[in-house]
Amino acid sequence: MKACQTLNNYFALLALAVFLPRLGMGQGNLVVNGGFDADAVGWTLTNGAFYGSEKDAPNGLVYLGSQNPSPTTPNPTSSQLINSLIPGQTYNVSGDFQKIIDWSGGTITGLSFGVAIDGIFLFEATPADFHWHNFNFSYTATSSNTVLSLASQINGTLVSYGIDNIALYAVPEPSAELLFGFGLILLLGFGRWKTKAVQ
Amino acid sequence: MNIFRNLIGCTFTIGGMIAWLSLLHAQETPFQSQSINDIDAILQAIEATTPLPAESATNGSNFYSAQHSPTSEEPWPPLPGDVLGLDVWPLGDGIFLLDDRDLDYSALSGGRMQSMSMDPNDPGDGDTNGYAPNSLPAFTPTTNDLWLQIIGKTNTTAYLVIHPPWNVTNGIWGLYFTTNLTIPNDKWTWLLRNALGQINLVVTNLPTPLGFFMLGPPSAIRPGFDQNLFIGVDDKSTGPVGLPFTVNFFGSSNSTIYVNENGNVTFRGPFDADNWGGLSFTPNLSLGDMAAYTELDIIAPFWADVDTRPVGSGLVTYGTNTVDRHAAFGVSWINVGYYVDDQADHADKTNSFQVILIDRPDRASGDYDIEFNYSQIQWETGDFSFSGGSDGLGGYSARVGFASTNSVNNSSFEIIGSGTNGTLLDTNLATGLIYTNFNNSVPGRYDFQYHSGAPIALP
Repeated sequence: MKACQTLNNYFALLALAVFLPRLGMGQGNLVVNGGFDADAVGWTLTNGAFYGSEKDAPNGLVYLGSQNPSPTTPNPTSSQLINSLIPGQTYNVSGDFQKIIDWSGGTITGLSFGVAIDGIFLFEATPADFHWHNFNFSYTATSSNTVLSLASQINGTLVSYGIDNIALYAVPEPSAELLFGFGLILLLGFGRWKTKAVQ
Repeated sequence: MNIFRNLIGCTFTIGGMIAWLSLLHAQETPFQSQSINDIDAILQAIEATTPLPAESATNGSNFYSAQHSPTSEEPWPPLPGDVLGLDVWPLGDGIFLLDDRDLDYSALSGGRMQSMSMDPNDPGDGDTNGYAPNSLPAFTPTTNDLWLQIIGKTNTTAYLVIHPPWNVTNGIWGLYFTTNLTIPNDKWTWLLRNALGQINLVVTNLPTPLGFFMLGPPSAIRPGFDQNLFIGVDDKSTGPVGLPFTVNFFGSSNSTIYVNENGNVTFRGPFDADNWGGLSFTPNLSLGDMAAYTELDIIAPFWADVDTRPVGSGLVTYGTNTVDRHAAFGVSWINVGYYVDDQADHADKTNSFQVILIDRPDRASGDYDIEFNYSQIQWETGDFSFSGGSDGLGGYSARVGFASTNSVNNSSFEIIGSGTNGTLLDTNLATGLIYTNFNNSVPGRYDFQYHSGAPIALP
């Protein structure tokens, strides 16, 4: 009987090993160094984006901006290649952004901050104030790799931003969650029943 | 017996020493030296006496004019602590202080002065300079005082040497002049400012008779206005602060004002990073554009990325006082540092400046002055990456002026050199803020007179 109990435990572990990845759970934050706590390692910074600290983010942030830009200045961008995605799986992308300077003095308006997946902006905004704000959106992976990029001064605007706490997590699907949870309860219940039966 | 002999020996020995010391004392010669130490000692002795009465202080100037009449044998008012020096003219056989050419005074012991009503060109006293010899007691020399020496003069030219304290080798001082010390609160006229480390000064075109010279702080900054302390913060503002009088700023009536750390004050709201982000510390816009963007009315003696957090930086103070008996509100940024990304050293360069709003109902109802005062400008830009500055220089440098969006014309004004690299610094002898002025003769002071909410004249 002890062998049977052990077998059940093995089943439970096997279920976790098989189903958790399918649910996207257990992968954690797929973004490397999204908090910029010490540097911007893992990110590619282009068109004037740079790592910085201080000024409301003492643990570090990435500035998306360049000095004295014009509407034709390429967008300062911070990007990262995300691996280990599961095609068909839904992911949640989130992070913090703060308007730092509007170089136009408010004369050029439009959506000035954007977050893109494989070059397609899925989130665009221009906050009214200069406080930190959160962005949050979902997308479904179509391949195992994708490029996550955050850019400022988009759409010809001249607003620079700071970004911090970037994250990408898999979103558990409700039906799968229910099925997984039900199965897990069954397995555990069967295990306890077997144990009592043996005693 | 031996003990008795020893006692006698000791007595003779001690007696000999006393006699030798007495001889030394008796041989102490009358004071005739022209050495720095001797003169310094005289000044020290004068300073050791009682403080100068407060009412003799020149109002709001940091300088004190001595009240006395040029009669014989009267106590000379001692120097207050913040008078940095006075003129000293060593002659062949005496020390003369505070020479006015017609009435000369020689120092006596105990800080007393004796008038020497002699013509310096009168050879009748047997002295080549026309002055009688004077004996002075010796004093312990010191080199801790700042003093000014007249090494020569003609009818209209004086040759001066600054003797700085031993620990101030690169001081900057203002040289002031007055022809009359007998009038209380008589103002000292600024003559010139020495360059960094300069000790030899030549003053020409002096009126005759010559008057009194005095070294003083080079500051145009007025004392006071420090009842409130804006504790070391970065890019912050106070809440609305009450004004002692209503200010009509380009048609907008204001009874409160916001003090912003980054070198400016605003009406209608704070100008800080919480509300305006990097613009509050990166003057990339003109004052007019800034006002249009923020819809704030701004008075900016030095809009730049001030950082008062580090040790070594002064703090922002503000409060009320009077200026020439007029109610006033002022904000002072004294020895403030600038922002550095890595916090390595925010205060390796510091600036000292001030803005004062002065009620002037004596001119017309509702009139007031806006006064910008500067005594030290060593940096022009914070080192925040967007600023483009490095070590406090370059990039988007400070802007000086005022702007309003609530008038018909969206009025704004910036002084020449505002926002231009290098022009406002002490190192620029031609356009540096501490050397230039407007509407007055004090270097480093800009006085904008407002009538009906607008400046009467602009530089």
